[in-house]
Amino acid sequence: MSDRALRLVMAALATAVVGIAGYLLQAHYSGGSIVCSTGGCETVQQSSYSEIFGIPVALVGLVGAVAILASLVRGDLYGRATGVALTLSGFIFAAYLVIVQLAVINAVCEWCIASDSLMTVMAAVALWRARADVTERA
Amino acid sequence: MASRAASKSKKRAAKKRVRVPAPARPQAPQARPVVRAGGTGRVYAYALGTALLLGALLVGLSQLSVHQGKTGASAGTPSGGVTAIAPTAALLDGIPQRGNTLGSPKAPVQLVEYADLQCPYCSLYSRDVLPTLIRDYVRTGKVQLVYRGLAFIGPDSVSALRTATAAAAQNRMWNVVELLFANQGAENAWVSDGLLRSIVTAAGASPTRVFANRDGATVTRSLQSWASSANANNVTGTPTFFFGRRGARLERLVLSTLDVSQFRAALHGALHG
Repeated sequence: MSDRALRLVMAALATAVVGIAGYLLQAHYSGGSIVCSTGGCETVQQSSYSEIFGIPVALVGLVGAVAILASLVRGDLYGRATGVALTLSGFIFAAYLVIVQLAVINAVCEWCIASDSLMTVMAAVALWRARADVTERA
Repeated sequence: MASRAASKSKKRAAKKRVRVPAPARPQAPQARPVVRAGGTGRVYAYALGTALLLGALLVGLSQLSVHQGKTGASAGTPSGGVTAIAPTAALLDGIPQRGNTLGSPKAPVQLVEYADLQCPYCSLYSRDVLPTLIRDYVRTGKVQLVYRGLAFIGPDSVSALRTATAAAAQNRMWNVVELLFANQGAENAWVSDGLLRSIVTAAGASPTRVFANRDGATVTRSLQSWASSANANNVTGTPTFFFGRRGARLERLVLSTLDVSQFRAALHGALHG
């Protein structure tokens, strides 16, 4: 798969994360209900883990996804490396949030899980893009 | 002829010489020079380092934020000397609140409470019964609680209820109600704006918004609606409870004592009946 194709895949995934985070953010500020089949979305959204010093975690996800989209504008080494840095940090935070949902809050928000999964796939794609640079170097 | 043959053989020899591979020349430098390869490695090393730092920073800040919220709550005696902030926060943490309801909007059973914030029995129910109901029925998504405030004991009832109802717009009414019950004092001699401000702040709502709205039309409409509903259901004292399956006509819960077992029996019946 060409680097251009991988960038398009990442752009699609990041756009999906922007959509999910935007939806959760809108629900956070409007106080509206969230479409949720697990019944745990509002539990997670109203837990103390849903904010970092008053900043909604959904906003952190939104900013992160927009930053990933911006990193895709550059198709060179620095663009790929920035993508690796952003998606891996996103993956670390996403893994932490999944653990919190399962082990601390005891509720699962399907939107959050979807966003976390997308972030994981993006990290894998970003590493795959970086593989070309590392292979050439060897 | 001989000379032509000789020249032909020379040409062939020349062609053969051409075909002979040239002696190996020293390798030209790689397309990606060593310096650039090292640069690539460095760039990715920085990227990995940044990823680890940024990831750890986000996790750390989240933990710090949650921890500060808890310690701030347990330190919890802001200006008004409010108590029970941490237990109340823990009791309600993560449970969906919308307006005057607590619990999943899809819960099959509702338990409606009519209460006055100055009523001592309501405070007892809040302290002795409610935590068990929340743990066993609300957190599990089986029951949704509905608070309908009445204010008949006196002026403190009114100001406390208006403040709690104004916090409903921020989905923090239950936090305010439970903190008010936990800090209940002598009849019509304990509610002050200082106490209310401290409670609203401890409940996680914006006191500015609450104080701006507590005398507004929306809060007045809610109070009138609950009072009308209490009249229609012949509620003559507090606490009074009604329970039943969502959408069906609710049934009055007749209590001989404020014992959790009576609530369990009623809710069990509604859930499995």
